[in-house]
Amino acid sequence: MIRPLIGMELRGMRIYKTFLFVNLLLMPLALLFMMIMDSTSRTPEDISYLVSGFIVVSLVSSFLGTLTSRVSNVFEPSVLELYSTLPPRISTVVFAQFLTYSLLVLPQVLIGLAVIVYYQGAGRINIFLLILALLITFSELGTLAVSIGAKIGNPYKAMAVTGILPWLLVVFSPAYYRSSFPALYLNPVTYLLSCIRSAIGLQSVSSIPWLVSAGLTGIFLLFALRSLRSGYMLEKPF
Amino acid sequence: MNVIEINNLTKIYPDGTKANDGISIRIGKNEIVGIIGPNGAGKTTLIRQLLGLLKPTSGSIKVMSEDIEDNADIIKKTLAYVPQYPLSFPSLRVEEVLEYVLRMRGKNISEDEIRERISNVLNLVGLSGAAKFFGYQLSGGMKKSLLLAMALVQELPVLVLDEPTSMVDIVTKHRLWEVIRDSNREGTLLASHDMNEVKALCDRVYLLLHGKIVASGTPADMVSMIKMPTEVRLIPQREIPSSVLPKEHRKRGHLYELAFETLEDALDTVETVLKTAGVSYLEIESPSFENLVINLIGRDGE
Repeated sequence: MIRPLIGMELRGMRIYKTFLFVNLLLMPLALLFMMIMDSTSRTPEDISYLVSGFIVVSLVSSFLGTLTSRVSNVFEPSVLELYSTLPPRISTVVFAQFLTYSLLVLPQVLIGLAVIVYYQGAGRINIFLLILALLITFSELGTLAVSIGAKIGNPYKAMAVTGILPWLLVVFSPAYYRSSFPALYLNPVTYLLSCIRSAIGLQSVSSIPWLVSAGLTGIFLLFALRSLRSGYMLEKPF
Repeated sequence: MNVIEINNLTKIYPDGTKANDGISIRIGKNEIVGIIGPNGAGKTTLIRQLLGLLKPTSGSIKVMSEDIEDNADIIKKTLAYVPQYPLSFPSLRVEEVLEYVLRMRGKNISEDEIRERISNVLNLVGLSGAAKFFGYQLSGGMKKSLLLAMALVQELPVLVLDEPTSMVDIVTKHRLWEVIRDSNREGTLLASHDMNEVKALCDRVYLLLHGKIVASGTPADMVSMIKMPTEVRLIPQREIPSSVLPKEHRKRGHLYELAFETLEDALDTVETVLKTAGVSYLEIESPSFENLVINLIGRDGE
């Protein structure tokens, strides 16, 4: 069931292929290029810090935004009506979308990691923690996207959220600058950055960002499941 | 056995709006049953409860004798649905959409069977020439035809159609009617506000107004329920004497449009016109189903 849904989602992007190429590869890689073009004046740690920020920012802006928009489309009443008699459950459709957009942003993540390995070497990277950090990042942002998209249920209204939310999450996080300003710790992205940076050896491993991120993932997952598991999906208070 | 059985269904929204009020509908084997009613009558609420998207406040819905509240899977296993809005998949080809629907429906369908079923259904709805078209290239009528094809290609026992030919040109409309009529399902539920569609397709009709069923029966039953208004359009060979014309008439060029309260009055007048002025063109619509329904709605309002 998942395979045809992913195939459908990927084929459904054919007419946007130039847009996707520019947004998922060309522009992010141009940004990455700018980060490393003056590498001789920076330490490998500085470059890794920026590139790890780039990885999370890519996920926040591409993955969170696109998935929110697609899920909000699925939760439109007319689309729910159509899927009500088609074989897949809405939870399966949404899971397929989660996998599809995870695959689409994966090249940015892998290229970013390759750049980090190139500049600082692989010795300091804890592979297990890195995989765990990426899984938590994908899960937390994915479940957040599903919760928001399902709640809004309208891609046009979702555009307002997908326009402003990633921007807020990126600007008020230490993605491209170093800061320990307390307000930044209200932002879930700050903890995700800490998880990834501790996995690649840029900062010491502390349990707090992992626990906060896992806790937030759990909370967002509960919200997402509440929307996905509801038997009567158009039943909502007026 | 009834294919669909809706018993005393009431739906009250949280804001207090009673969208459905004690509705009971049954669809017997091989029947096409229509629900007609103006906008806001409660047709969409009824269908959304049937599709399991809204929870009935009271009452029950059974599909193939199974209560959908106890066994929600019966909806996906037996119902094929054609939505009201011409949804499309902009960058999927027509044949790809049908292929994905089939692949979701069954893992064990062979490639050959998929090709054959797609080809058959595209022929049926008149989309063979558009098999390679992308969704964004389809006209409104083609989108509706594709939605019908999606429902038919799954070969499920029950069809639920929500205004299947709205926003469709007259030629496509008649072709889709023919397809629906010949689809040989175990049961079909058609919600529409197109009176001609209901008259052309349905064995029985329920008239829904303000969430309640105000009349039901075969289209012929409903016609016999009240005095039937009849409309006549004719072009005489010579000028018609004004004494012959009924009170309600309109002249557009050479064409006369005459309205009568009964078919008998209309025929009497046509006979007189034939004798006094001759007739070179004649069109009689009786019973005018649309007027009947408007009449019933008006009577209920009173």
